[in-house]
Amino acid sequence: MASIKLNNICKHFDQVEVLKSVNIDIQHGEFVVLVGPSGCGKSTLLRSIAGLEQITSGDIYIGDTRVNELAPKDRDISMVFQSYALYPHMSVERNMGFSLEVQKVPKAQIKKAVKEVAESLGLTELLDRKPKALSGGQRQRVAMGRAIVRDPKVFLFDEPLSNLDAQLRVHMRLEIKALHQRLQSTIIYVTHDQVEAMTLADRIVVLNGGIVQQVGPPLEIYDTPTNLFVAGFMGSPSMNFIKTTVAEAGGEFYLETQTGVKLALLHQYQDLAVGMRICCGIRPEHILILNSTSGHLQARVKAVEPTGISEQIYCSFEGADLCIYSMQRTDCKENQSVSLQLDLQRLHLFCADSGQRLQQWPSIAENVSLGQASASS
Amino acid sequence: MNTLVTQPKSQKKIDLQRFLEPYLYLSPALIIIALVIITPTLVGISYAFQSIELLNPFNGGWIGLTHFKTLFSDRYFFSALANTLDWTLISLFFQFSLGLGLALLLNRKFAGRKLVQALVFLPWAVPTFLSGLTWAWLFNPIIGILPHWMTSLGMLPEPYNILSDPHLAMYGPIVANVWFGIPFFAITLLAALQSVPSDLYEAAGIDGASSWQVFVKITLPFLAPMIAITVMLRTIWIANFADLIIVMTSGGPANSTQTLPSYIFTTAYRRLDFGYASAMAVMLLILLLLYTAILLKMRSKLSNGD
Repeated sequence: MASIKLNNICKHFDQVEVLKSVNIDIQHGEFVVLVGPSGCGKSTLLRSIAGLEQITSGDIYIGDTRVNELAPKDRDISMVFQSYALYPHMSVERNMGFSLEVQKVPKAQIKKAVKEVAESLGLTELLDRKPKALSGGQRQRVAMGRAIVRDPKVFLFDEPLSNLDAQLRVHMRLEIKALHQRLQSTIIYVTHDQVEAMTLADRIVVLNGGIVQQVGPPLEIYDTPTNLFVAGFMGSPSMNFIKTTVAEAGGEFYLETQTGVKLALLHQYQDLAVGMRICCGIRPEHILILNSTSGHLQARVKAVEPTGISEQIYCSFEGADLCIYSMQRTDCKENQSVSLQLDLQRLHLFCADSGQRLQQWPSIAENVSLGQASASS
Repeated sequence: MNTLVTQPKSQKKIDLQRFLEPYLYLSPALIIIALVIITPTLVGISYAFQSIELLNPFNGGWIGLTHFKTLFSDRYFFSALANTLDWTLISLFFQFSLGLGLALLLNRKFAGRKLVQALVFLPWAVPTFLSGLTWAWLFNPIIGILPHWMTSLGMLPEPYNILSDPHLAMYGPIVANVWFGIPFFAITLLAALQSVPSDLYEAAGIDGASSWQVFVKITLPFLAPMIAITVMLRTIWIANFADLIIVMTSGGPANSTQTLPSYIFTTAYRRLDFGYASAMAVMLLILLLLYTAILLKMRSKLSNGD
């Protein structure tokens, strides 16, 4: 187990810049998930840490060792591949013990190590089988077992669950989480599935276009996305965005949509100015459908998707789509007009030009308590 | 009621139709195969039991196993058999090992790889007679360079033509054959190498395997089925392959390069004894069938063990 430090990692493929000055510090024993859309550089970053790709510039430290020039086998890491990369001509037992076999560890010792890991993963029955005689979930588990037998400092997972069906994915997700709790090892995990990222990570690193967009604990990233990309990418169904402009009345700022609908601002924001174009984000679960017409917005229903546990209602508002996530079953029909109530406490404001989040000033209530605290001291 | 009575009959007809239909579709292919492969083979085998000497046309007719009896007391037949074994095994060994090496080299990334891959195929495209003649000239000390090089390297006491030395003559056609056969192994093994998923090499690299361990434990097992089938095919081809020998040495000097196919060729077209040549061809056929059966059995055992 060890910490990992990435300093200014850059990577070019010919003329294409895949990673642009990536800086991440990973603590000993931390579970970090790299998440982002396809082609964002997350797999390249993982493969660079593994030593399967050479970085163009920057430094990679595992523990206190700079590993830039070390071969993958000397970095003391294990990797679980998306395709599992099990050796098809070897039994499960030999697959799992391969790293020890090539180090010429005595056979009895290999057998013992493999047996222990196999027991912990429920693979004991399968040790004599060849990979082709295993199901997807079993192969996945063997691949994990092979990584564990090596007892490395760091585990690297490259989209390990993407070849499994939905149900098995949930199951394996729990197993990986349990594994991390048991081994307390440092894990870097790449996925494009933001549910996996949210559920597994101690900290999430959101990547786009080779640039780190945001690093933080899952809920922090969900609640305070730092820019439009993170806001739109994290969360399923994803955040709604309404184009607005800042206006002022009686010393109070408010947002005005293209058709003149007014949205009050309940928080104070930094750098707000009249006439500023704001992309106003609101999560689908923070919109309510009202029976009356007293809501903030009037919209027209385009489609209703019942999932049993919930309903997703897609409405059209000012030419854009709004998704509403409702735990109650609504009676909405297509083409029906509905009135929508927004939870104004939960608005996310992004500058439409830069895409950056507008930071809130600490709320008035907090200011008061702070003032009292300083007064009493 | 009427239909009920006639139904069983029509059902039988339908069954018959269903049974015959596939054969109807297959018949053009079957007829062609029977005409151009099976019939000549059977006629050829029948020659082995007849006396067919063009120099002795009135002495024809069925003679049973006489040719085979002659064959077992023919010392040239046995020396040809031994030569065939040498010729096949030595050629095969070098063709395979050099071909595998070349395939491994070509599997690396380097500039101009496509061009080199195309060039490697070239010997395969040169007509055998041409390459046989060229190699014969190369071994000729008057116009060729090889004897002089071999002398300089201390392999020969003086530059002479090894094709005229009964002890060394066999190596002439073998060298030409190795040169001719490398591309086949290189290209087929290269195709097999490229089908090995790169993930496996990466996983093995992370697992700490050295390049030699990767080769022995990952690459070779992956290539094994392809190696088995190519070695089998090549063995049969080399064993049957007389062109180079006929062109370069005609089986001489003193029968020292006479393999079974070249002996058969000489018997049939120089001595014009088609009966005896056919008897030897039948023996060769039996030996190769035996070899193939053994190899296929081994292969199925290997793949069952998987």
